[in-house]
Amino acid sequence: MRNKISLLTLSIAVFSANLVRADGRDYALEQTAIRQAAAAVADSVVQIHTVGGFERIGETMTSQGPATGLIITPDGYIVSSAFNFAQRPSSILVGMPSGKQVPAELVARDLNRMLVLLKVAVDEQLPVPTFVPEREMAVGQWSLALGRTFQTDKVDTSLGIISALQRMHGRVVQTDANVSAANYGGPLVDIRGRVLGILVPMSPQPTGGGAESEVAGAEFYDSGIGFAVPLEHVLTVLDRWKAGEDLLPGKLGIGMKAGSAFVEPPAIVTVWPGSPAAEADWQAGDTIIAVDGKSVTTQSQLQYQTKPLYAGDKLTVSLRRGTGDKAEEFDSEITLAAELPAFRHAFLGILPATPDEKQPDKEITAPGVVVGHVWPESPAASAGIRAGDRLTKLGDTQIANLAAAIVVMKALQPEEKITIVVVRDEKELKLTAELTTVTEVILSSIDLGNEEKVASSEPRELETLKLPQFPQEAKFLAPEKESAAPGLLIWLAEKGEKDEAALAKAWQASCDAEGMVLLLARPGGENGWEFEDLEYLDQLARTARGRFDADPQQTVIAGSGKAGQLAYALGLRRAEDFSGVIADNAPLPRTMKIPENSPGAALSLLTILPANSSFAPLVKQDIAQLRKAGFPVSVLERPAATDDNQQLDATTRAAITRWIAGLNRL
Amino acid sequence: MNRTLCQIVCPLALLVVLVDFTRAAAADLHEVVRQTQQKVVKIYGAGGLKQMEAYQSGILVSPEGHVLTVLSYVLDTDDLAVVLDDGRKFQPERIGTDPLRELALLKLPLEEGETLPYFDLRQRPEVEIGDRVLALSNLYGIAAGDEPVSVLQGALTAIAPLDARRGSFTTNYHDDVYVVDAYANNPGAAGGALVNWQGELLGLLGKELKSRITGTWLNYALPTANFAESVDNMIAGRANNIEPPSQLPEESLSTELLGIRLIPDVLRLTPPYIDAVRRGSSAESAGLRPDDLIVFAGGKQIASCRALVEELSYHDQRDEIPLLVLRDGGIVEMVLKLAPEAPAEATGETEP
Repeated sequence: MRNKISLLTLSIAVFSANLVRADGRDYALEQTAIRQAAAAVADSVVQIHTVGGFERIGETMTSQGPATGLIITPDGYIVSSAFNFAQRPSSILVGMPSGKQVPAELVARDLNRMLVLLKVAVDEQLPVPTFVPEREMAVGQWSLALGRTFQTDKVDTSLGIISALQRMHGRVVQTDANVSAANYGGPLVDIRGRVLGILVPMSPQPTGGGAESEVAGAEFYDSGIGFAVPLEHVLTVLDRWKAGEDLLPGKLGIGMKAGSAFVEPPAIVTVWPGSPAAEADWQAGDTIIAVDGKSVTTQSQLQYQTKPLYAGDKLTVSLRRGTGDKAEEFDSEITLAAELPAFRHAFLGILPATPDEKQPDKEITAPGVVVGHVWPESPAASAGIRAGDRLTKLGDTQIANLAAAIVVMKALQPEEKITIVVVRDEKELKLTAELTTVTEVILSSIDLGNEEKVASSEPRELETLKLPQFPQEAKFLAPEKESAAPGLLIWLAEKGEKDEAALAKAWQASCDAEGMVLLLARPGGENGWEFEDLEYLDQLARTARGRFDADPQQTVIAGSGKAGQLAYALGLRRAEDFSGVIADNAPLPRTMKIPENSPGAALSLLTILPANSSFAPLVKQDIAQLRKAGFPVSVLERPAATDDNQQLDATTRAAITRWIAGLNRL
Repeated sequence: MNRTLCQIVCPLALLVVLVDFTRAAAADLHEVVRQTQQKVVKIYGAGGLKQMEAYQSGILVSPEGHVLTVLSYVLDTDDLAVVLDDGRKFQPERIGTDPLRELALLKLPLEEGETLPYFDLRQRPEVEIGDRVLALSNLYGIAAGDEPVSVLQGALTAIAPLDARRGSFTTNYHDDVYVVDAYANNPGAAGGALVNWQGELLGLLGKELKSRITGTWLNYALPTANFAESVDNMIAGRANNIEPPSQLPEESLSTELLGIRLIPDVLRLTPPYIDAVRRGSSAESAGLRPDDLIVFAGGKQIASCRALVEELSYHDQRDEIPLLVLRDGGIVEMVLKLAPEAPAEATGETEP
């Protein structure tokens, strides 16, 4: 029988030139080849069960069913997709080829290629597949995506071709076979039954801020664009991986000119303090011209050289400094870092005067920034700056107005020494200050206007703001006096209209005093705030900013409990759009990765903790983490809420208002 | 014929046949598709509102014009129209339904003696994972004129029990389905045909469903073997509308009966750790101990406290439940069986 088949195969092979005439394909032979290719690897494809863990990661539900892995060494190392472990399971079980279930240990992750390495104890040699060297792969060749999710006794098979090599900056091959939670972690196999790579989801656009998520790209499942990390690569890093070291994306620590990565040259605009680039003494204005001898002329080309590398990898970068005749070129040895020290904004310690506080005389039109308040023990206080001074020069730059001062401050760093020119009693004074990181102290000296007067004023009617694509309405209260660019306080109201009226009444005075719009948002569902409401809040915030022409320096999102978690989620994700997040009695959402503070944003956080809050330990942990990520976190303690009065007390409200007013600081 | 000659001639003869056959098969794919399209119909009926398409697909299952399709709101109209691949239009009669499989049988009013091409449901071609398949259907209603249905190609991904939901409802049908890697189950495709590359029927394309296992949209078909008898019943006028059998036994097992107390169930995916085992209970005799993590019960993976409680409820109190338990990093196997005279009122507990 076997003899006959081989004869058949031979004859078909010999005469295949003839067959091509029909339409170029031999279907029966293809069918056999496909079955054999899958069978050749099937024994190494294992089913993985996980126990416990999170229900969702961000907005992605973690998959509930069994997942797939691939045995890569006879002594029990198994590779799988990080997607399958994003829920952080408490236990992992692997169904071995013998049918036995064995517990597995997660050895390490590869968060640059979104893989994990598992280890099981074995008492027998396990079947290991052969790999296809990357140089042998070709676009257009058959590829089979295998999983062991739907069935335990057979492998799930999807058929396709290799669509591209070296995708995602050289990290993966691309296939048009169906790739989804049904086979993430399984192999992509060639028609000869050899493994091309390990199937993973991967997103071309990393989600803003921090590291890429393990579930990023999963939304493109079964789309005709699937990815696999070459097994050849996995084997080259296996020894490093076996040591239990997580493999992380490597960072240089430079900011480059904004614009198209395919056009703009890799010219350095910012060098992150404490980064590998800073340690190698790279400077703003330098241009990268080659990496490890390979010339790069665009930012995209630079990414192709650096993205496949891991933290800890060394590379030689050639740079050009200066222009024209003065240009010099030099090589720089650099070791990529896993994490950059958190970015921290510089702080001088002054709060500009609001129009009311300014002297009602000719000085109003004079250039500069009039100082309203000085933070005690701040750089400004040490330098001798006083309320009423007019700041006209920061460092070497003349300051025309507040906006100009903000731009100058953004380019400065903590611990920098600068000279400052202020005008006091029509005399110029030259002072020096050593900048610090942004304060977390809430000014106690800000006069909030006549509280009694405003508090006794009649509560005004709330107006309605409705987004057409969402069912719920939001209510808002505009300040009594119109101002050009008011502040915007978005409060996530918890309990319907009664709560809204109480909130509006409580905040009206503060909002009038600060010239701030109060926007009260409602959850979409009956059960209070849910993470599904984030999309609504995002849209609502955008719409409101446009409609009220709100001051970006004073756009704050606030909430209590679950709503506070949502405020964190949205504020941290859209750090460029908010200046503050107020979270009352709320820990961070448990599955949220804290993004890094970035120079482009200026987000401050205010955490309010009621006495006896059961969240206190969590919240304290979160504060430490947020500070580590570079965000200033102010903390307020307040009396415990009682059942009949859930509203914040007046003292806490006043402190919140002063905190919001203080966001305008330099 | 001597042996040597045979060794030369036989392969050659075979080769000629084979070459002819393969060449024919390749050249005939077009012909296969054309013939198969004639057995797949477009059905237009009720709907038309948002995400409620007013069309679906059907297959001819007898020469007399019996059309099998899925049971849906589309059929809820007196104005139902069945359109053949050449554009001929019929107002069909409803013959029967199968609520469990969500199928409906229609009959076209044909002229005396007129016959149509059809799929023979007694034919059950062999099929294996990885085999290439074609899906023919009225997907997205794009075949709007006097034209045949759309054809998609793909491979058979899996043969597995249907574990899926529509919105938050799980389906009644839990038998095997063919999972394919073509985007076969889009709006309007339900009721279409899944065939092999010889045009032989493998199954009926189902409604749009999300897999509970992967959380992704499924592309699948009900295998012919799982509905052929139901179709026979409908043609013969025999009732098919049996209620789905109750899934729960009369007397279900429970953690309480077995003497197991799990750790407090605070998350949706709280791992099913044993908190305490009642003294003298069936759990104790089986060898369960506090801090054991139950990972498999009755052959099913148990990912949470809730899953264990649910799994036990499917078992009768007389059942033996094989368990896999994770203890000190190793797997321990045991069998849980309720002791006949288990003292339900016993209270002593062995604390962890």
